[in-house]
Amino acid sequence: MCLALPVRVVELRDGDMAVVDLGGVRKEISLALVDGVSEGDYVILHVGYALTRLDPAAAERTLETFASAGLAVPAGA
Amino acid sequence: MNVQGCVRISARHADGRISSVAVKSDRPLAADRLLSGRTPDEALALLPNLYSVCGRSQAVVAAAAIDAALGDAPGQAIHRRRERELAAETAAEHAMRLLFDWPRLCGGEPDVALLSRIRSLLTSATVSEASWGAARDALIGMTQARILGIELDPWLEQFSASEWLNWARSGRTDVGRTLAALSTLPGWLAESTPVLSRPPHNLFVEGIVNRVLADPGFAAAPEIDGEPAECGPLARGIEHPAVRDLARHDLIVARAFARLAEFTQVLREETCAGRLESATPGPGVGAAMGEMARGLLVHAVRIEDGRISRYAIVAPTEWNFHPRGALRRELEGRPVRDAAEAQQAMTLAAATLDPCVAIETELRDA
Repeated sequence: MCLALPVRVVELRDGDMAVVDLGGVRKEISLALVDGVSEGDYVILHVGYALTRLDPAAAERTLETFASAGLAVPAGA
Repeated sequence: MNVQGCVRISARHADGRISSVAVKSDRPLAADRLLSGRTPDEALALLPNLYSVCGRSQAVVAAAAIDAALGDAPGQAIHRRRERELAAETAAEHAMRLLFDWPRLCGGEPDVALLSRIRSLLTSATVSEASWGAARDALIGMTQARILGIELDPWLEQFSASEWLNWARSGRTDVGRTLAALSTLPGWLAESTPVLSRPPHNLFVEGIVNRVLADPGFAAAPEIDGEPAECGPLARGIEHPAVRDLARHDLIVARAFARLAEFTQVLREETCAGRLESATPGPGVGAAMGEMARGLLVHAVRIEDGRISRYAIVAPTEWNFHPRGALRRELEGRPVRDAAEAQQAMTLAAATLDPCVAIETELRDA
């Protein structure tokens, strides 16, 4: 959604599925719309589907940028 | 302020009509806070990852605006690649609506496998004119086989509005069935909104760039001469005879078909030219406008002593979801048979105008 909230992939599962960590809450998502996701990568989500893959350094820089601009990252978003 | 955000639409349903429509967005307009104080290179490294659904378009319009501010003229090859990026993301976003979001709205199943192949082809398409050409050939084949069920050229060039509707209702493809499902509301001709598409240079500079640099609040509710405007596929495609004819009867239907028409049109383009323009309104000030999936995207930047001192973005969602804009006009006064149809009209009107954030609707019975 608009500004991109990266979420971390903590586990890859069979059938193009993965588990992400949303502020401490784990959720199963589909990787059917992105290629080449590894554990530890970050993804941008759209209704349960990963849309974009980000490498960890880029994602962490994005999250730091939001924080330094005073933008709240919702837990469990 | 939250990173995400949404467009909230509230309305009443009384006496067979929708009324008291209010459109409010809390989408964070944070470009200045995110980018001011950074060097141009830092900003350009950050930008592609800051925006989730339109990162490539944001990145190329930013690059063009920063080039203009620095007095750098990119070579023609760079300019052309930037225009291909805008075209590719436009097609990928339209495919996302046609194959994923809209089927879900209409009770159908998304075609994730086809969408994945289309997105993958478009991601690698922009590198060179040759890669764009190869991707187009593959995408046109897929579109004819899976999306249209017929040849692309006659569908785009020869079909009338009623032939498009008959094609959709024939159920030849899932996308046809989705567009038919989006076209079931009783027709209603809303008050029209002036269209905004590739505005002339003067309007771009004086009417948008200089306004937003003088008043940051302009980005939240942009207007031209005090009036909201509509941008996006309908605004860009209104000269197409079938789109224009649909727009004379119902703008929700016209916007839905205009998006599919533009998806097919992009696949036919060899150069993608005419999507990106820049300007240098003053020393150290640069601006660019690009036509992207949801409409006109404008970036304006001021650079002083090698750092960004001001950054503004005027994005399509703020034109189309302006408090008095196209969405409100689409709904205010619209006749509906019952509350369920009112709710459906709110959802479809918003989905076909396609905000870049989530939509929340609230319908009150009188």
